[in-house]
Amino acid sequence: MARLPVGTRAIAAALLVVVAILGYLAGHRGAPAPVGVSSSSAAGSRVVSVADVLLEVPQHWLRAGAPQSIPGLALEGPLTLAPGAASTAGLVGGRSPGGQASPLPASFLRTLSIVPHAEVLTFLGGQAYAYTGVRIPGYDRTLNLYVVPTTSESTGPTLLACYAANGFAAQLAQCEQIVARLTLVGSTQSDLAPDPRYGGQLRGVVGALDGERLALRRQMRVSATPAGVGVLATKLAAALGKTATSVAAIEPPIAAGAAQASLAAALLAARSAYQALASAASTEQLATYDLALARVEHAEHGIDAALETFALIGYGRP
Amino acid sequence: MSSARAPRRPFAPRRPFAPRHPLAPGHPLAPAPPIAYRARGPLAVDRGALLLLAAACAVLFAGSFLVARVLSPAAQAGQGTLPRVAAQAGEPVPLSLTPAPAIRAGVAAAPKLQVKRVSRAAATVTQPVVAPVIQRTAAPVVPAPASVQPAAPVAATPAPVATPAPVATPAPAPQTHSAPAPKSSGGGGAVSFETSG
Repeated sequence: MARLPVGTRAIAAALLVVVAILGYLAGHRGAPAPVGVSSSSAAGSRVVSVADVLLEVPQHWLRAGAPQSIPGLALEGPLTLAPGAASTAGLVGGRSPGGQASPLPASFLRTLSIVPHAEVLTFLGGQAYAYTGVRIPGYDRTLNLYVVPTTSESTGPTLLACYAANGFAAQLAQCEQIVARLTLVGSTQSDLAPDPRYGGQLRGVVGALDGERLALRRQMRVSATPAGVGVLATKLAAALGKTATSVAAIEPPIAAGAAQASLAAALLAARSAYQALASAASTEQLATYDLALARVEHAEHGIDAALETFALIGYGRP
Repeated sequence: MSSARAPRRPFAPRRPFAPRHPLAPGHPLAPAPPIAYRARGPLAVDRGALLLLAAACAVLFAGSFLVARVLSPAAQAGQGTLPRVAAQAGEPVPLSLTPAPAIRAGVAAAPKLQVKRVSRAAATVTQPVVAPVIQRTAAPVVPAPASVQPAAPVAATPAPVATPAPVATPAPAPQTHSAPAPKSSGGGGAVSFETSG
């Protein structure tokens, strides 16, 4: 080769490049085709449409007459597919209620004792969140949830739930395979993968607030006079307002925009609640004061709920 | 290389078909010498190189084919494994605010304490009628002069005659009257009022 003329060597190099490209293309085409894109789906399976996705399900996975209900999950257009008795194992799909910052419905989150761990899945047409091994108190099924967000604000995300009772792990794995081969239909998505830089900024802002809040609340605890509590509550309200401004100033990834707006709103609500507490403390009216305290507690739960949303979009513990 | 001889035979053609040119070979403007014709074609020359090239093509094709099969999302999906994206690097965003001590206990005690003091004072004023009863019946039983005595000057002013009825409520009742206000007042002085009521 070394003795070949320069022109010949260039031709050989070009030939190798072309061969490599052809090999890659051949390998890509030879891979199993995604379901629903063409009519060449695998034998023994059929395509089922659920909200914004197409699922290729084995023939023996049949549609259940009555949708299987999962506590807290109220889906639009629910569909249940099961390989046998729908009560033991299967797949529930449908559309979640729209207008929520969290990928999972608030009614469902209320049933959980632990915030589920989120992962991001990548499909040909987009991405989805996965929550595996979800446990609902009082519901003895293993639950894996998959949420395909939508860019539309009017409609909710597509939610798929694989469930299985103890001893039905094979059916659960089969359900996971069905999900793994889903095809997204007609929805353009943003990147769902969490942005570490954004997460760091948010953590810094929230951490600073938390430290200040804790110190002020301890002082409130030991404060002997309502006037003292009022002063501290005013300080905490100011800190919450400042944090809300800082949060709003961070530029979020598109996928985290709704969660950030929710957190900023929760912080402002908490600021108002502490302002009301300060006002009630200054008047020294016990009934008003108790109402303001309840409002503070409620507002702080709102902040916690907004922070949980970040865990549900991948900014929680890895 | 032939520049030394060129001036001697400026018009001698080097090849039968070479065009005549006024410029000598080697002159900067002279045309390049024609490429020598090789009787054996380039393919025939390096058969080994050709085989090497073919082998390289085959290996490259197979390699890129396999890489495409492995990396293709569809291929991953075909294997039934979920195509997960690598987890976020770095510390997580906190799930919630740190649980803070409740405010209620600290604040509620203060106003209530003040309110109770006021009500106690009021009670001493409104209960002058009771005080004589205590003095009459409980005096031999309950010594506790210290706690009762503060009430005495107050009790002295109202008319004691107007209280015959309390005789029916002689002192044994004190324990059952644990009740009304002092739930959270916490003051030590409240005990005397509970027993007196």
